Amino acid sequence: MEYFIYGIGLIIGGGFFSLMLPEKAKGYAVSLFTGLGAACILSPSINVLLGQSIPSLAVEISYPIGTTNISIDHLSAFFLIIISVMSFIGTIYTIGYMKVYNGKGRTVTSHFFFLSVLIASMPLVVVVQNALAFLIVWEIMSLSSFFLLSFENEKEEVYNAGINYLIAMHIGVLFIITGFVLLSIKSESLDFNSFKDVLNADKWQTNIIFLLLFIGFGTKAGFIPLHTWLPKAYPAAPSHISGLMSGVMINTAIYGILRIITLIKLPSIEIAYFVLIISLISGILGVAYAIAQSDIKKLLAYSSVENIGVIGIGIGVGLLGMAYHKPSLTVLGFSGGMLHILNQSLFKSLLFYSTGVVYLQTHILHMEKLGGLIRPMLFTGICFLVGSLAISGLPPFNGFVSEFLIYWGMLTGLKSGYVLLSVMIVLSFSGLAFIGAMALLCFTKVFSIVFLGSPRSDLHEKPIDVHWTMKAAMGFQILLIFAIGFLPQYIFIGISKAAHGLFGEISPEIFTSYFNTLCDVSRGLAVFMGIFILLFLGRYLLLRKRRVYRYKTWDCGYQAGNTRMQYTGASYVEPFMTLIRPIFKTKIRENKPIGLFPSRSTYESQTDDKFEHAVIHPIIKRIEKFLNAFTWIQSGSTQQYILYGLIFLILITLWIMVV
Amino acid sequence: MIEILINAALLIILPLLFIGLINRVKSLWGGRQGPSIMQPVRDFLKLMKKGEVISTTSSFIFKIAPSITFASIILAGLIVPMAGGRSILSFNADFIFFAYILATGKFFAIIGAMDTGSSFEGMGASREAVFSSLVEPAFFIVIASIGILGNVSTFEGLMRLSGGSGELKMLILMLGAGTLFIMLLVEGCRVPVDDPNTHLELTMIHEVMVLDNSGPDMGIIMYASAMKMIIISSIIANMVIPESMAFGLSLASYLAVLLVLAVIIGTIEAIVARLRMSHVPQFLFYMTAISVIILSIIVLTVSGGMK
Amino acid sequence: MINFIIIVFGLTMLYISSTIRIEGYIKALSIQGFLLFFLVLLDYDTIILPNLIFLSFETLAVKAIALPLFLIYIIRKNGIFREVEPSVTSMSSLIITSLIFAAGFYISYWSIDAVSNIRPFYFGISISTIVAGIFIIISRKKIITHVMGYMMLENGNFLMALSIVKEMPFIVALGVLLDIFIAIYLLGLFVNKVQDEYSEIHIDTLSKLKD
Repeated sequence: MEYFIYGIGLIIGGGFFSLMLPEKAKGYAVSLFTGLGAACILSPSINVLLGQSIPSLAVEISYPIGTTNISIDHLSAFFLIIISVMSFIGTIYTIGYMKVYNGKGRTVTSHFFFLSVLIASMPLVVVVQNALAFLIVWEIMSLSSFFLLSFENEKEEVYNAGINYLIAMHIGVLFIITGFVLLSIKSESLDFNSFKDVLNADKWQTNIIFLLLFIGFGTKAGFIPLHTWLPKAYPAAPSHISGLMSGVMINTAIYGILRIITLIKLPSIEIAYFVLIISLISGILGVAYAIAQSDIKKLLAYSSVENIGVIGIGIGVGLLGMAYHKPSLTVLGFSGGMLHILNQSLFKSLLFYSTGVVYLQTHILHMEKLGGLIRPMLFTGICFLVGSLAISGLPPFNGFVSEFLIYWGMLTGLKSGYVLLSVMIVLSFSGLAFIGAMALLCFTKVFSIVFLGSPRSDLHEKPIDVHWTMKAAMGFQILLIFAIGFLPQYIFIGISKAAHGLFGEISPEIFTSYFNTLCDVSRGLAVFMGIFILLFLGRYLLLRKRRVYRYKTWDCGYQAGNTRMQYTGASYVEPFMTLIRPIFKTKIRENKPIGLFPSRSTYESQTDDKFEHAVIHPIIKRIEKFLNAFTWIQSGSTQQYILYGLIFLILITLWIMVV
Repeated sequence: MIEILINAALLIILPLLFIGLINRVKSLWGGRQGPSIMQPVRDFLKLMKKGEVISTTSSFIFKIAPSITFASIILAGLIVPMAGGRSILSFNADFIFFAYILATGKFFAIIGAMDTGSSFEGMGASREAVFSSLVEPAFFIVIASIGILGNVSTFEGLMRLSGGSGELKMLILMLGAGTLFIMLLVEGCRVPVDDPNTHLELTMIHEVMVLDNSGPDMGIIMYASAMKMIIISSIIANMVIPESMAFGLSLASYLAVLLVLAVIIGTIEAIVARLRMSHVPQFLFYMTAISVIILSIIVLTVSGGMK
Repeated sequence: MINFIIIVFGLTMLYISSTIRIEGYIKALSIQGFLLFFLVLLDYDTIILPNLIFLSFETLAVKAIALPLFLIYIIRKNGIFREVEPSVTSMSSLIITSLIFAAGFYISYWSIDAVSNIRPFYFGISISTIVAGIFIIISRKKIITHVMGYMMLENGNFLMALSIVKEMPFIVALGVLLDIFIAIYLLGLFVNKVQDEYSEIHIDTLSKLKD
């Protein structure tokens, strides 16, 4: 446990230390200290997963928090590993990314400081066992990420996105506070463990509290319809911050949900179906919105919603297993969901990091203006390709393994004997397949438009691959992705330990059967790679002595083709958008070419977020109306303010006299 | 062991013959002499002997894409149950692996097409991706609904329904086979979804994606798409053929079903026009609609509503 | 066998909801007639003989052959445009019909325990056919498609009546009366030749009739 404290200390210390350093050295310092701190945090976490006893520590903090238990149980250990490793990778990437901004003075200084604060607050979120202390570190995390996000706050859209994020987070916190207050009033304590009795007492009381907390944590995680801050915040933030937020910080919200589930011994059926259905909606609509985007980061933000949906489907399946007493559903569902947390933090941040490289080199995020980047930026292109394959859940990458576990869990629940359960499972089974197929459409779009073909616009400078630190960070992530993808059985051991608090001990026979199946999967993947290598080798040998011409792309006889005639992202997804037009709100402004010698013609399409228009905006409008009624208070006249002071003084005097 | 060897041999031999057979049936309907059944084999060998032309726009993706696609389809072929309901590789939940490895192949086929920067190929790739996103969920509904009655552990076991009366089993499997037949038409790029013989790039799906491929790459693309048809036909065959038969008999009926499928596809190609591109999605939605019916029937069966 | 026929009956409704050709509608109606004929024959042990003869004649001669032929004759005679002109896209209409069928199956699932003495599967499909027929009437613009939507609705009724034929045989006979009504309606269309009044028989033009 001391190591954990040292680790946090080191990370924060790195932040303070970086304040004194010259700008060039700040990144290295923060990265070094984070690395050391991450190692210190890793060692107790790995020990816990390896079977050592759970370290815990009771800290006495003055009123009103009281005794705070800090303990690293299996669930916390799992999240600590993700947070520490991914943060370390993030800081390495940051060194290269922030080079461009050197010479900006104080902004960079505070940026590195808050980066350390964010990285230090996340491990604390997953270990504190006291509701009030949890809220405090949660708030530190939200605020520090807000400062990081509004790095380029001189731009108006960044400023707006930052404020939007801040408000969304506080609405979320409001729900969490309400949930915790209800819990602590009933249990007369702030400790998580004491909540257990309350949560197991009355079914509907538990449902309501769970709903409140789910809304609170779900706002951070980005379940639809609570996702509206994501597509604004991620494009505004610098890429390493979007990577850290989507890859690491979001996970703490999932941690919150899982923590509540560990406290509920027997979740009700309603909770399970609620989580499953909300997650299915998030998954399907998230990826459908992602397909419509043309800003790369916005697309990734919506796809983050989709991945949260997939994680939620896993958790929902696990909850169904608990509610219906089907251990196989529980084990596979939770393991799949938790593995997807790890996976999504790997590939999502990889995608954000490689997008960051694209942005640094071209200063463009609009994919219709990019193209052909894989030739000048081979390494980044491969990173993005691996990320896209992994996020679409395709073998032999890691996204497949988690989705496989979830699918498999669903299959074991098919013959449950409960008709509703079977139907729901079949529907979510195909829903997950639909999500996968749409993700394929979405990521073939972004990868091929950005990296393949020819450049669609003239760039000011020739793009090149970048600083070694960024390459190192991304390369390390690729290694992890491959490792999980090819050797899923070993990662399953860790996951099944980490999910210990959710489903207890698995019997050895069942564990062995799961393990063996994953071995089979890994063998299948090996066969796949073997066949591919053989085929490619065969092709190489066949063509070695033959003539291989290089000639321009087949143009159907039209000789004056140019790069702007390539298929664009919008045209690539047009058939799909036509299909879903009834469901979505797509505005199309077109000016069709008419006549033999058409003049200038244009086409413009814009897909709005229906939830934002239908749910969030009306609420905001009402609130605005209500608050507008009070604008006269701030009139700007000094006399009036002095009058307030006088009124206040009189009221105080009256109060004292009365009491 | 011998069964596995026979299946492996079938997986290698059948694909090109299947295509040849379809073309032969089509030519018979058209009153033409037609090419011999071996013609696709000859085409394939011819392509393997050639050099290649590679687009200057393309990157390494273009070179590896056909091999990866073919590898994924071969692996799917190893997993799918063939003659005698036996598959070469079999493990728990292998049909999920099957569906996803095919998707990997599709991913690379698509980005391989997009790599050339040609708008024709972009068009084909876009259609391929959209149509497969409609097919996938229906396929999964069919698989999972059958799984309620069958044994879900492996692909082999999936086709063996345990609950329900004989007539119901027949009904479910016929509907399942019908859905998969639509999938066969989509994935095999046959009429009425796609026309393999059209010469207008604007109306094609799969053929237009491979416009720039040539030589051995084109050869393996051709072989791969033929093998994909065999794979889906094998699922259909295993649904239609009753289990508990001697291997020899089962092999014969497997080949017979494949023959019938080839004749049906050839006949459809000869007498039906290709659908308008905007109508293809509804045609594909039939898959989903029928699979929902399958699910409902199975649910009714399980809860005793089918009298 | 019965289940199989009922499923095919349901599939014809799916086909109708997505096709854009009027002749597709007529073909599907004719197929529905044949299917109902087979259903009546397969139910021979529950229906009394005179009823059986009457019903099988009605389904085969009227539903499967006479009415479709008559419809084709009217379409040719009146020169009605061959597309049905739906007011929703055929994709959404297909999706809506599938949802109607899913709901129908839910009803049959519910009716397993709730209502005794009826066959749930018959019941579900027939209810969804009725609703799908109403949907066709609502979403298509031509008068002739209204008539055909009504005929589908009536076929659904017939199917439902078959599912409770053991209890209430006269219901089926009542259902048959609807066919006569249809025939009269069609005859009216034919004789009065609405065509003479309006260039195209279109539901929009009917709204001019309001005062």
